[in-house]
Amino acid sequence: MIIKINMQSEVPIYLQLRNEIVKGIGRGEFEPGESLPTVRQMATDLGINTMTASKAYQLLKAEGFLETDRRKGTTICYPTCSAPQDNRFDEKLADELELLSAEAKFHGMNLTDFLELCQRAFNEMEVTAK
Amino acid sequence: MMMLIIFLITDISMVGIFAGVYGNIAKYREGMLMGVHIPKSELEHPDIKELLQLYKKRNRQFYLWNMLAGIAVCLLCFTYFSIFITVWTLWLVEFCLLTILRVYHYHQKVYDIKQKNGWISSANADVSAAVDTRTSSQIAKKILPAKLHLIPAAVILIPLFFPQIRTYLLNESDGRIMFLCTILVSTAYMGVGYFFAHMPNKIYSENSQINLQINALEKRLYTVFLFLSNICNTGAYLGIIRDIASSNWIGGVGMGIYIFLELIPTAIILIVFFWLRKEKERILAQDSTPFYIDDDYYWRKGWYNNPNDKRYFVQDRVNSMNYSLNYGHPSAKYVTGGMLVGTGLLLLWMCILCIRIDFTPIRLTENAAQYSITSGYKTATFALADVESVTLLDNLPDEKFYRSDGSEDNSKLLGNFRGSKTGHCQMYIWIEHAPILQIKTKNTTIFLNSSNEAQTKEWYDQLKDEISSKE
Repeated sequence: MIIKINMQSEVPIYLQLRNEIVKGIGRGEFEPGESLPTVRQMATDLGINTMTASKAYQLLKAEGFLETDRRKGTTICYPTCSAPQDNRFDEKLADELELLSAEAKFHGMNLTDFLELCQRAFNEMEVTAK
Repeated sequence: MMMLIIFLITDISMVGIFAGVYGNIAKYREGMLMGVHIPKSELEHPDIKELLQLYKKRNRQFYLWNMLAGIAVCLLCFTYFSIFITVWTLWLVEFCLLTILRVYHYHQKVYDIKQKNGWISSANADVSAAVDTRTSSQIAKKILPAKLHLIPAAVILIPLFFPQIRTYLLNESDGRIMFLCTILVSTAYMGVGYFFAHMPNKIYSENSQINLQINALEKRLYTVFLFLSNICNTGAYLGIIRDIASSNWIGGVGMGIYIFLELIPTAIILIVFFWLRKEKERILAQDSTPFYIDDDYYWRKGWYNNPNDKRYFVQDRVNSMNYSLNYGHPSAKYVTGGMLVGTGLLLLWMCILCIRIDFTPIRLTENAAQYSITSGYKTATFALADVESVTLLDNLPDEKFYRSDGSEDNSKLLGNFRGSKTGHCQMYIWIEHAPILQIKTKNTTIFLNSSNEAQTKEWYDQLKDEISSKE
């Protein structure tokens, strides 16, 4: 998968990297068990600080998207090995949706259009939990 | 004659290589023309066609003129060496500077045309950097690791365990130089090998297979080439060791093997470079989803200037084997400026040294029982009290002399030499002139003469008289 970063964006680079990897997992562009580059290689190829790449990887591991294997290095988690569903994820999702909803309503979007957008985005995701 | 052949080969090769690398920027490659991203369909645009016509015409003239000038300059080697090397240096500086300036000039012209016509690609407009995760994660398995270079490095150190060889390498100046050069070259190959193995992977396509194929091909070829070059370097050094072990002397055979093996990588890298370029073009020609980030704004003057990019080294647009500096970092300007000034001063110093060697006469002067031999190379001194014998010879002794430092050309021998029988000696002689004064002191043997036969005899008589009156 090609991960693209915008250095001029207001979104921190580590967050952009994290988001791109999560989207890639969702769209099925990353296969479960697939190896990611090492932190150093990722940083070299993107031209970013190693600490920035490391921060993104640490965040993804904490969220259950990545795991470290001694032989394979950092790999994409199988959905079954994700962190067990608990209130923290639901609260996070609700919080982000609240923000998106506020922005959508402010810009005059109605509920139907908003749900249609959500459905389209959700349908693009090919990853399925086992 | 040897110098003529060496410089002719050097000049013709250099012009040929520059023409192949820098003279070939008019070809559309990786979505770029002359290092500027433009849509392929715009190659037929009148502005582009006109520029390409002008470029090709001026290109032919430039390289042809420099080829002829480079050949003509070589004929000066039959005159004074200093005149030849000064004119050759001026030609070299002109050729190198104008080659680079021409690349920048045409790059800027294409960029101006691109700006004027609005050919900015909207794809990846917000992208500053990208990585192909599949290529990045799999590339390490496909290339030769730099630590393999430790093997030839270890072989270089093995002869130090043999006392005779260790003594020669550490005590004789030519042995020391050979050993140090070999170690430095080996380290350089290892360093460059490590650099190539760890350089960022380039994205050519949305297709990861193509990216992996090209990056793996490039890195594998270069890392293997550098390892084989290190083997050649070690082999060249062992040829020298063979000479030292058999005759305690670095002779013509050892030097010949050394030069031959050290030159092999030069020939191979040219083949590798041009073959790799063709292969990349072949692979990319089959690609239907090319990928590039249009960062031409940062390359608009021909060199890379992006203060927001933390990278210090970036891959060159014209020659992917080269790396350029990011002039967005202020220190890059100082480094380049320092290198240019330093190189200029070094060349100037070299020319001045050669002029001094050619035009400073050899003189023997005396001051209170201290004798000084002045020449264009350096001044040697000896005390009358240290002189053991003074002899007038018709020729140099019939033995091999090897120069440790100084100058050796068709007319003069100046500096420190080592004879196969005489041992360490100093020479301040005109080759085509006789007689030659041999002065043996407690520490060394000095061979000295003047271009004027009578002057040499006068020095001999003077020294003889001084020695006699001392006794």
